[in-house]
Amino acid sequence: MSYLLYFEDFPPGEVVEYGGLDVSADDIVAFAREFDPQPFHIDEEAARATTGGLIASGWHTCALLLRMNCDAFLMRAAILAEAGVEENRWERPVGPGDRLHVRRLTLAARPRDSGTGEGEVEFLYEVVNQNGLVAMTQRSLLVVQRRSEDGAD
Amino acid sequence: MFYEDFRVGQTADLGSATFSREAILAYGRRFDPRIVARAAAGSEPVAASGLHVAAAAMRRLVDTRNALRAAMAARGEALPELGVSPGFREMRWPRPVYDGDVVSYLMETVLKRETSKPKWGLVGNRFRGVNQRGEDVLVFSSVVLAVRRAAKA
Repeated sequence: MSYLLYFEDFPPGEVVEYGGLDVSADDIVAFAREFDPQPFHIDEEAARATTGGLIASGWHTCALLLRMNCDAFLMRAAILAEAGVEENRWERPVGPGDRLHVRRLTLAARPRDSGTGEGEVEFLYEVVNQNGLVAMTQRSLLVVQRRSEDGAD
Repeated sequence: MFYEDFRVGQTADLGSATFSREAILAYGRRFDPRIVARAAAGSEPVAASGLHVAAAAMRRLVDTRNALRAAMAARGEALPELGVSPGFREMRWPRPVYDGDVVSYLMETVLKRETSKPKWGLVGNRFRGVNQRGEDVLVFSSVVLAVRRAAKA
């Protein structure tokens, strides 16, 4: 696989926006039936009584962020490891008809010990709805190959 | 479970999930096209997306809780209102999950705290996923609001 994005392509302080995924009631229910079958995720009637209407599982919103990240850059980046998620916060519900975007801030880019040819990048993702409101934030770490060590350019 | 039913130090067995090749690729097609690309490139065995392994933990938790609620209902006990989780922290994937792996999920209660609202208490849990060889494949921490038995709102 040939990559286009390396450690050096994620400078600290950079803000990038991308995405644009529509969330339907069918998507919400299909995901929740498989992974999070609680009434307010799978049953419109029950949801009206508790949460005012169907809301997406938080794990679904995580999955949609992953999809938008893949489409925007993960498929093209020389990722050596997904080091983990430091913190994920569900700030407000995602519902049918919402359209989600991502605002990605690079918090830090730390080269690892010399000679390993890799570095750790810390991102803060905000999943933003069509009203400009933040539905979810996620701070996570990726280990990315350094361009110089690879000889790729 | 009510707030009062959680005990710090107690570990609940949430059951296990088998990761079939079909399930791994189905999650990949929807949310993590890197999985599909690796399989198409002949990379075997296929590894599950980390968030797929985490979402399966949620499913085990919901099923476990539903079984407890069914038992309570059968005894004629009042059922606790379901609380929401504001998110999770410190998610790590120590090892990949490959097709055919069976992951057992465990939840240890690590903290309890009363909140400013008399109806709800905060419960902190640490989740683990362990494969059939006894190796950790997932860890994360999460807090959830649990309704208090005393407060009949």
